[in-house]
Amino acid sequence: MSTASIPATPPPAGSSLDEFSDKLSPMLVKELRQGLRAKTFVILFLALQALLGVVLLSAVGITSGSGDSGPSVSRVIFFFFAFAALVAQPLRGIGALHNEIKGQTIDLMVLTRLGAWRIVLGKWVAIVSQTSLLLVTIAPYLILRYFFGRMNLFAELNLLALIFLGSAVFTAITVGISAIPSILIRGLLPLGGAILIGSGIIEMTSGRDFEYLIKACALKETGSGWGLLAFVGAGVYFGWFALALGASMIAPMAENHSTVRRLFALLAMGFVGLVAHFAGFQIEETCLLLILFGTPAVIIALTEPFQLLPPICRPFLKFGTVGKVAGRFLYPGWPSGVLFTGLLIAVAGLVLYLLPDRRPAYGFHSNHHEMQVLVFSGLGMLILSALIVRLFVKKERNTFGVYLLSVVSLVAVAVAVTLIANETTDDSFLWWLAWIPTVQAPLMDWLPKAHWNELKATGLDPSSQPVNYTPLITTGIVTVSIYYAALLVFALRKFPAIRAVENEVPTPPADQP
Amino acid sequence: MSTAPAIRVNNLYRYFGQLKAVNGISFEIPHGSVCGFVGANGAGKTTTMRILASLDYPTMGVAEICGINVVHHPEEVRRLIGWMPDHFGNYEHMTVVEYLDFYARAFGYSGKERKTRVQEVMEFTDLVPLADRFSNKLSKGMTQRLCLGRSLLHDPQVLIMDEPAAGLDPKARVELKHLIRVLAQEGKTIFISSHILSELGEMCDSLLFVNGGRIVHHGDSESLKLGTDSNGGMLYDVQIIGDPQAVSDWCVVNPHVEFVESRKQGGRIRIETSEPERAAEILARMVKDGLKVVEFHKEQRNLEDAFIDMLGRIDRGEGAIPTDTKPEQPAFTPPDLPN
Repeated sequence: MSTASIPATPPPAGSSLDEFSDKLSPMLVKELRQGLRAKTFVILFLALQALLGVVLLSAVGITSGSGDSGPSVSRVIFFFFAFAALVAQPLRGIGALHNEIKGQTIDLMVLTRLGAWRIVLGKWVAIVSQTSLLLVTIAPYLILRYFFGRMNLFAELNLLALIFLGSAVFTAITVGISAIPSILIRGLLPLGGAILIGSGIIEMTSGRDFEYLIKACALKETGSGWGLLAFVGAGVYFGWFALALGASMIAPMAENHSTVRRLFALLAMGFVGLVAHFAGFQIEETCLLLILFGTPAVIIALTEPFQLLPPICRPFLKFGTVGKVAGRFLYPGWPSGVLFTGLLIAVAGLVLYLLPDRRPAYGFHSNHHEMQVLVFSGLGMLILSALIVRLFVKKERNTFGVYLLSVVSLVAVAVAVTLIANETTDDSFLWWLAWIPTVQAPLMDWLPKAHWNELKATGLDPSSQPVNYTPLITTGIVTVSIYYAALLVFALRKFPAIRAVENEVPTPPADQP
Repeated sequence: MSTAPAIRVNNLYRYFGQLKAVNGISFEIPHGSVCGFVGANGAGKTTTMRILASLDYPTMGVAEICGINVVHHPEEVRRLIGWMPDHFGNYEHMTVVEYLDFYARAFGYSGKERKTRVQEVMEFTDLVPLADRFSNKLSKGMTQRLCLGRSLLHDPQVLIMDEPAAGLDPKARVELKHLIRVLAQEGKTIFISSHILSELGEMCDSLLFVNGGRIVHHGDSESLKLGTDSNGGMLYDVQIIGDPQAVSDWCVVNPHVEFVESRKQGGRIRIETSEPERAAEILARMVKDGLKVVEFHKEQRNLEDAFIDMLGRIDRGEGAIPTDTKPEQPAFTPPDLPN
């Protein structure tokens, strides 16, 4: 046992960076040290090399450079790399944050200068770096594959880059959701996703699909550039969003991650509007993109625990009344999340309103109505689930799980109702269940049938009159409005608590900015 | 150094739903002192410590480290404190030196300064021989030393240690006690919770007893040991020549004396009052009745006795021993937490 006293060497304000590793985030250094020694990575790395080596050597032996086996070799390389990058590597993120939470090491880290965001980012970058190591090590096989002939260099490199981007996005998602306490969400969701992606890889790398894929990656078709931009944009958005979710779940309560996330979601709505405008998207496509970008933001805003502390309010209060109003939309927690949801919907509506109607002349008018029904049905589902959570859940930590369970239950009800409706002759009972937002979707299918039967019974030609979707759309608007109003009541009841926290913020002395 | 106490807690509340984990506690710990935090499981020790470490937040009240509010300025507070939790996991595939290196980087050290600091801390905590051992393969005692080393890396002014001796073998406990003593000599303020009260008594300048989320005693250990029991009685050790059973037999027939426990050559007795005259009278009566008394002395209560006695007193609704500190504001009922 040492008897020496410990000299005090306080942390330097800004010291020289003597080593290369000093230029990297401490979290990345730690994760790489651990990750590169992990058996899963070592086995994956060696197995990939061994498999590709064996396959290529076999190909060399069989074809002796005949020039026809190139695409097959590509297929094998892409199959193994895609499997490693899109399935195996992202799955390593499942335990990333959970292990830290379980081991109570998150507390130790947040007490250092590492913020929650840097912790999550370090975890993600470390896995992506290891994926990039896999990418680099398959380069010799790609060079070798070049000599087998019939190589579309640009397309194959493009595909490789897209697989890498996909891997980074999926890894971000698994790392982000690894902070969720429920094993069902944290474990089963990525596993289900991995099975789907795995099947997709098998499908795409077998048969003629691979040739179509390579053709698409050549970006020679009209609009493929916009498609690529949308893919990259969506990838960046979802990846960032998942990481931000993870960061907010491990962050100390005095750290605010919600405001930036919500602002980013609002900006994304604008980004979609701009892309839709310049790329000439139809309104249905734009609407789909808005839903895709807005849904994660809405779900998280409506389920966030309400834990507001004075340090979070302080930056808002600097702007006086404007800051207070902004805080009602952007403070962390579900009460402000309810107002934010309303704002997001309004912004999305504005984007759709401002876009020129580019529906083709041959138009599918019913599509437009169907889209409206589906939008209100989906929106109603999201808001009703939040209302169910507020009505029945007392413990804050369970809200996200219960919310997802509620969404799944509402979808299950819709499926059950559809099955029953298919088995009965009189399915007008669907109207009695129209207050359930998800049932409005099967009702949409039922309306043309009812319309046809009604007009046929009166001896009129059913095709002479359009199907009247107005009652269904009105039902959708009314149900969404009622559920939102009820949720708003719950949220407004928490606003005095927000005010109380704001009042706790000490007023800075007059000489301080 | 600021004139504010190292730790100041005033009317602190922390509710988890209906559970009142911390229920209006107030205390102050001056700079450079070692304060033991004692209480049964669920008494609110860890919650209070987590609030002080800025890892949790109070429902109401004030908690300050060196005059800095932990809720309003958590970043500043984190630079001042070293936190040693009761339990934490270690990393796989990471050696002791890499573990400390990571935290040194996280605290902002780089280059040579980082290496020097890690070396200093390893030497202080005697971890140099274990430098290349994987951190998840360490014994509990080694792990605690590693955790202490980690919490010292940024040279904190205040160390908050939650049950650091839990699960340690006697040797590791002695080592830890030694390290804490050295740190105290260097002027660090140490706020430490433990179940092993005798050790706390040796190490600490003051003791805080907490029960049901409330402080029931704040003072030094000597005042507790020398104090009377809850009924005003005093314990005495009596040793005689001959059959030790004679002491208990004698107590049965004599008023104002109670036999507490037998010992090898006599027993421990309780005299109903703390007046020394009464003790002298009883000793004289024993001798007169033919007991060959060779030893008769007042016995200090150990801290466990004092603590149990205090809890018994509270259970009987007789109130606690008055604390040294007085809350600045009257206790109040905080509103419901927002949820």
